[in-house]
This record gives sequence, C-alpha cells and structure tokens, in this order.
Amino acid sequence: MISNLICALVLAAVWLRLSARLPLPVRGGLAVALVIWSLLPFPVGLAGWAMSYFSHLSITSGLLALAAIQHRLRGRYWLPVGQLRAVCVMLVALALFFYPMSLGSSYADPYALGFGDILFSSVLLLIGLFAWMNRAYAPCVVLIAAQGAFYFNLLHSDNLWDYLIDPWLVFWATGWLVRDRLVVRRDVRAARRQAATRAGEAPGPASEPAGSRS
Amino acid sequence: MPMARRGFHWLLGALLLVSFVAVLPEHQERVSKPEFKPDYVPGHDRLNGQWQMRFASDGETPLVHAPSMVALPDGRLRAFWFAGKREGGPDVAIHSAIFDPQQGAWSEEERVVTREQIRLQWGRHVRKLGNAVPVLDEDGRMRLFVVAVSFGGWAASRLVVLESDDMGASWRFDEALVTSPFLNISTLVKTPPIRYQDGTVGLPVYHEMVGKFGEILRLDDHNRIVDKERIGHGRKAIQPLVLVDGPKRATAFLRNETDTHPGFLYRSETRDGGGDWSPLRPSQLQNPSSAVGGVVLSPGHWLLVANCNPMERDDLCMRETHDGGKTWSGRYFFHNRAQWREGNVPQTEYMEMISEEVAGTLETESPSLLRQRVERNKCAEQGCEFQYDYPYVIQAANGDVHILYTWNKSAIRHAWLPAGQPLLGRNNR
Repeated sequence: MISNLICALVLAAVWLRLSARLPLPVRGGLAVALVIWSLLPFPVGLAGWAMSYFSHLSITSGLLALAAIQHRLRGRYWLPVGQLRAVCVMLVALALFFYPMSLGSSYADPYALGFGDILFSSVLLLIGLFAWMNRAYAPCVVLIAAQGAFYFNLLHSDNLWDYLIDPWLVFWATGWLVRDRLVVRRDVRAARRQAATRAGEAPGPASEPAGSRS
Repeated sequence: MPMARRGFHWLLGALLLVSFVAVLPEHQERVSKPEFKPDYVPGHDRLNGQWQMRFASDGETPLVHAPSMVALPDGRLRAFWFAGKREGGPDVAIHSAIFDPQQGAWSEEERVVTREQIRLQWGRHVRKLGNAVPVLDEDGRMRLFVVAVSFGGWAASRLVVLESDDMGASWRFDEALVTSPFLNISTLVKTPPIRYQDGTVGLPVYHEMVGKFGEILRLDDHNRIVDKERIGHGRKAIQPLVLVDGPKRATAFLRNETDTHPGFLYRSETRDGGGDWSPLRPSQLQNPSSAVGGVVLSPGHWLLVANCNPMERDDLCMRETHDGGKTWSGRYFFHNRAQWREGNVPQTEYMEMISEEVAGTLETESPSLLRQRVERNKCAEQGCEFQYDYPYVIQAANGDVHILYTWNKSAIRHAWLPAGQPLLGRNNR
C-alpha cells in the first residue's frame, strides 16, 4: 500500500511538473484524480502497472515527491536548495559505484549490506548526525523515515537500500544537478550583463550573481 | 533559537538514534558465522542398483522445461516444471505430478500455478513464468520460488514466492522477493536449495542482465532475506549448484557463460559456511554451457549430472567423485548421441532413435503423442537435433537417487536409482 502511495505521489509530481502552464485548479484536480486512479487495485489502478515496469520507489522518492507537489501547488520550495544540491551530489556519487558493484562488476556487493549490517547502519547514523549538527534537517528526515519504513517492512523489501534510494531517484538527481548548473550559469551571465549595463550607464561596483531560485 | 525550533532539533536527533537502533540486525551472529546443514543420507552412498526411467510429464503441452522436485515426508516425490505452447508464451504455467515409489508410477500431470493467478494475487503485470524451485519446511509447509517476468526477456526476471499447506497441490501467492537494487530485475532460480543450521534456507540464484553471476539468498521462515553471498562476478557463470559437504564446507559448480573460455564448468569453494566464496576457476569437467545437477552422497563423494561434452546438449551423463572433485569417473550415460553431433540427423533415423528411447522408458502413457511433440520441437527441414538438459538431482530420505531432466523439450524424464543396502555402522553426518 505504501509502495502504491509513493508511486501515486511521484506520478502526481511528474504530472504537476509537466502541466505547469495549465490553470492551478485544473492541474490540482487532475493530480488528485491521478492519485486516486493510481491507488485503485490492480489491474484498474495505475500504480500496479507502473510498478510492474519500474519496480517500487524509495521512501526518499516519496518525500521528494511530496516536496515537489507542495512546491508546484503553493509556489514555494520547502527544501533549502543548498541541502537538496548536497543530497543530489551524494546520491549521484554513490550511484556511480553502488549500481555497478551491485549488478556484479565485483565480488564485493554493497547491496548485500542493506539486509542488515551494523557497519552500514553506523555510517548512516554518522551521516545523519553530521547533517543534524549542521541543522540540515532534510537528510535527517529522509533517514528517519526510510529506516522507520524499513523497520515496519512497509515496502515489502528486506533491504534498507531500497528504502533509501532507487534508480529513478538517481536519474532525477542527475537531471536536477544538470539543470542546477545551467540555472546557476544563466544567473551568473544575467548578473554580469546587468552589471555591464549598469557600468555603461553609471560606473560603479558589480553586483553579486543571484545563484538561487525560488 | 526559539523553543519550538530547539525542540524540533532535539526530537530529530533522538529519532535518528532510535531509527539507528531499530534497524540493527537482530541476529548478526548467524550472518557473520553461517553454518550449513548437510542433507546427505548417512550410510547410503553406495550405488549398486539399477536405473529405472520414466516420464513424469504426460505430453499434455507441446513444450516442457526446467524440472525440479522435492521429497515428501511419506516417501513420494513432487515434481514441478513449466509447460505451455512455447517457452515464454502467455499460456506457460507451472505443472506438477507426484511419483509414488511404492507403485513405481507418476500421477496425472496437473497445472498448479498459472500466470494469471500470480498476476492477480501479486497485483503486478506478469508476462511469463519460468523456472520453479520448491522447498519443503519441517512444519509441512511447502514454498515454491518461481521466476516471473513483467516485461522483456529472462534478464528482467523477478522471483515470487508461493506457499502451500497441502504438499504442493494448491498454492497461494506470498510475496515477491526484492533481490536487486536496479528495478528488482534479473534474478532467477534453477538449482536445489541448501539449508543452514539456524533453520534458514539458502536459495542459489543467478543474474543474467548486466552481470552473469551466482548468489545465495538466505531466507528465514517468513521469506525474509537475511543475507546474500556472491559466487563469482562479472559475466562468467550462472546457475550455481551448491554441494554441501559439512557445516563449513561446500563447493559450487556453475554453468559457463564466457565466450573466451567456453567448454567447461566453473567451480568455487567456501570453507566458512558460505560467508566467502573463492574466485571462480575452471573445473576439469567439460560442459557446453548448460545446467548442471548433483548431489552429495557423503563428504567428498558427489554425483554430478550434466552434458559431458563442450559442444552440445546431445548427451547426458553422471560423473562421480570420491575425493571432493579432484578426480572424476564417468559413471553412467543416460544419453549419448555424440556420433550425430556433426550435422542434423535425418528425420526418419532420428524418430527411430526417439522411438527406442520411448520404448526404453517404463509405463509411457502415450508414446505416439510424445513422438509428435519431439518431432515438432526438435525437427526442422534440414534435420533433427537431440537435447537432454536441465538435470535436477536429489537424494530421498531412504537413499534413493532421483534425477529429472528435460527430454528433447518435449517431456520431463525421470531416472530413479533405488538405494542399495545401507552401510551399517557408518555415521557420516
């Protein structure tokens, strides 16, 4: 059930992203309809079909989908961009060795650690504590939610990794980072142009680049 | 910092610690120090009987493949295989039959698990079914691990578990195992399970998408995966057959999937109960990249059933070792069509040889139907081919050795070697 709900939330988030030009009531109404359709039992429900092909999505994906839905409906991003950027970099860096090794490129199998390993849990705790001490609460919430869901076996997987990451999340993180770089570069160029224009009109110090988004 | 924000901060810190404690493994000991439970039958490692050959399947479907079996507490056997119009077809289902050694006969073939049943009970699309491997628990519950594919080919396989309380006559879906982080695909079963001292079951599985390698999944009573150990890596070998010699010692033989060094089986050993497996190395056993079956009769005394040439699946032999695989003897050929290997066999001659094999099989119900099936499956315009593969071997509690294999893609053939007199005074366990 939780797997279906996460899938429904992700589908709704994708829909809201794709339908950004439609009026808000239409987008919102269709998103609700999509969630309801997704949660219907298989074979009527969409989630059963989606997960037949894409497999289940992680708790992290579900939380990010919630944040994205909130962003699209309310217009304000709940997650601090700096924290999101750090998490995305960590995810992509992790995926670079995690997936090849888990799919058999070496004898060592990091995925096997997820079936229960004190060292793995300790590393997660350290990451969580580091984030907590730096008041980066988003990673803390993800870790707590994922480990809690794992404890209650909410995704019907016995592996903690499945609660933390999934390939679609990594694809999304990669895309987000690429877009982030493009947006930052665009903002820098815009700021330079603005500064140059100002300098042409009235000489003075250049302004700082924006570098951040709503 | 406002009071509410400070409270939130400390609440998150506390929850981090609680969640850390919650996910700590319950039984770290059994993962870090595993011990096998050998299942050879003490005193029954002398093979001096006469093989009896039967067909387990009825010829009900055009194609059958990948048999497996389990010994029932009353001494009978229950066999499973997949059957349908063609491999991967939408009508393919898991079929089953029971062998009664007292009667020396197989029951009628039944369809026990269907694609539609798994599809509806799982709530996921199922495109096709494949290999099935049974496990009988001490409490009488039977589990069946079945390969199910939602999209694509066998490389996109997932494993589902079904359970039965009536010795395999009827099944209910339990769950799908999550065994891979990438879309949970590319995990298959073929070879018999092994057991551990703590009651967990080791399910040998293999992957064949990006990598081709073997693994052992350790499952508890609730089908929870408690550990996973890799046998090999890269794109080398699949379908691990695990022969357990003792609590800490086992040897795995794997089907060779390399293009660069084909023609032999790979092997790997563990000396710590499966915690670590040695790197794959070539065995001295020739094999044309086909499945292998086998059984341990006593420590170091193993039987291995496979195709015994590096080229084709047109023979099937049993090899025996008494020294843990250092030396082997070719003990018995169930089939040997090596002289026809060079080219396709003319259909008339081929069908004569098939008729001889059918005639040499006890109590065949419908020989003409089986011949039709073989003709359809193995003959083309340019001639016909022999195919004997996918052996599955067990030793029953009374010491009998049973082998099931796919006979020309058209029938499941059963080779039964009743046990000799037990060797008194020996206790090998």
